[in-house]
Amino acid sequence: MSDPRLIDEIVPFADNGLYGLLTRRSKDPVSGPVLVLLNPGVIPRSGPFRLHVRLARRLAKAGIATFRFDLPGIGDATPDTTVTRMQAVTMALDAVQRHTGVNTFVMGGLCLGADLAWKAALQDPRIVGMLQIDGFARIDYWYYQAWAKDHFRWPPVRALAAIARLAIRRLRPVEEFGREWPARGEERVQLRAMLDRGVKVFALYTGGIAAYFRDPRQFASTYANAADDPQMRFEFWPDCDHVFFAESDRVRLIDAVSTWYESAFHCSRPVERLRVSA
Amino acid sequence: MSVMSVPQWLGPPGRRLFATWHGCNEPAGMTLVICPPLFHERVLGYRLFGLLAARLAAAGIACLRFDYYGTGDSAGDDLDFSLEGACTDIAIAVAAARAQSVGGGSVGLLAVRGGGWPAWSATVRDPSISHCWIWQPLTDGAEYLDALQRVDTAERTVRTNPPFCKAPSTSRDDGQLVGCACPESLRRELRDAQLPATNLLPGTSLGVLGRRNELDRATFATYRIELTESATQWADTLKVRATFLTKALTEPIDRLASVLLA
Repeated sequence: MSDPRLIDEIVPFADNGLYGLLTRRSKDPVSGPVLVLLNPGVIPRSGPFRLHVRLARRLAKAGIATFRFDLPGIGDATPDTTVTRMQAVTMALDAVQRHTGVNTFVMGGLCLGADLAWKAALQDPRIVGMLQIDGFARIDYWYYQAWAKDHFRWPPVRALAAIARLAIRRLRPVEEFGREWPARGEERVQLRAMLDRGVKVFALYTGGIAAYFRDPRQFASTYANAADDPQMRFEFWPDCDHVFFAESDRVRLIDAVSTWYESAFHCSRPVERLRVSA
Repeated sequence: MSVMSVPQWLGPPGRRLFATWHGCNEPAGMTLVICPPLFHERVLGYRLFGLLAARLAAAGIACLRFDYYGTGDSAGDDLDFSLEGACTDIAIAVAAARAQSVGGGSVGLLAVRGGGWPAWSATVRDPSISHCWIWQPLTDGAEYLDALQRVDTAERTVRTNPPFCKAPSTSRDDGQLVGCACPESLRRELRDAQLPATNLLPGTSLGVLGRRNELDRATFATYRIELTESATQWADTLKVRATFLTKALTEPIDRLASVLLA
């Protein structure tokens, strides 16, 4: 690592070659919840456009340790492993706990990573926080209203084609997004159970998931009262795409996550703000 | 295929590189350092070339994969990457591969696309590198830069359509290219990059794997292995896709192994 104050350690967590990288300050023992970053879909552990590496280094400067690893079937994970993704998450937490002595974690993920973080947080009481980027939301009235607003400023032919596409999509089950979401109605119960356990959540939605999220009011309609819980933080960035292609969006995300982490988990050092390069 | 990969750090404290060693169950017939492609292609091909290394290792060729300084899990900021620096990193990786190789056989490079430019320079500088193979070689750096700029423009345009209603942050002056840092110094290096570059030492084995048109352009190569369209599509998109070693990939990899071990 170019900053000598920081260190990346290789932490193996399964006999068959699964491992991850723990980024932390080199001199201090790890304290507070460790942020565990899951693969966004099939993108390797370094994240889209190296986002996870940069986030880990930024947090490490503030004394927050981050662990990133490849789930089975992704990146460096050995091709012949029989470990399931959920087993891999549990094994990873066990290994980081053994390595650092810390027994609290924040699970973070984008897209499918967010879905897996949700499932893991439901099952594992060591998880005290969740970073949900483009996580779950129900399509509702607000969605269709925003959809119409977005499309009716288009030329008529294009708008009609979009209406046809929407009608077709309406006939398909939500599962066709390829996501692993709770059954209808379960999400509120599950979230309430996690909040009651003390889990803190940062839910960020981007404009890149316009297929199911277009209006911030969808968040409240998805989670009902839980959406207003003081442990919840919600943001909607409609001008940002799903994989943070723009450098300015990556900088904005790193700052937002760092600030949330600092306030939610009272990290030891103030988080430095980033500036967009060039 | 039950060869275990071993993650490790290479290089001096100021230039730590993340690497993965794919050792062989038996003493290796030779050792190959895999030089990754550049920009977004590093992520697109990450799984593919990991699987390739595992397959070669099972065939008796130990492989070392690594990330250039300023990329992937290696140290350094995004802006620190350069072609000259990549050449230094290859030298570090070659030394590490040689130190770990149990069989004591020869050491070669397998560079992927843009990784071919620094790999060629590294081969010229280190006469002990006996083989230099390039997967889907890029011969003209200026042409590659133009192609990346076209992709970059297209991506930025998509992201300015509703519901992506931004304009300022997708400015082309942000020093980024296809989502990666690309300072003017790197653009200059790319514009000047050419294959073939300086002549390799006599006796260096030079091979390419690629589509028919890529093989036709690689007149400098002694060995050629053709890849089918489906084996090369991993680099055609910005979207990372699930990767499996299909027959279209295993056949050329096995041919490569047999040529290298011959």
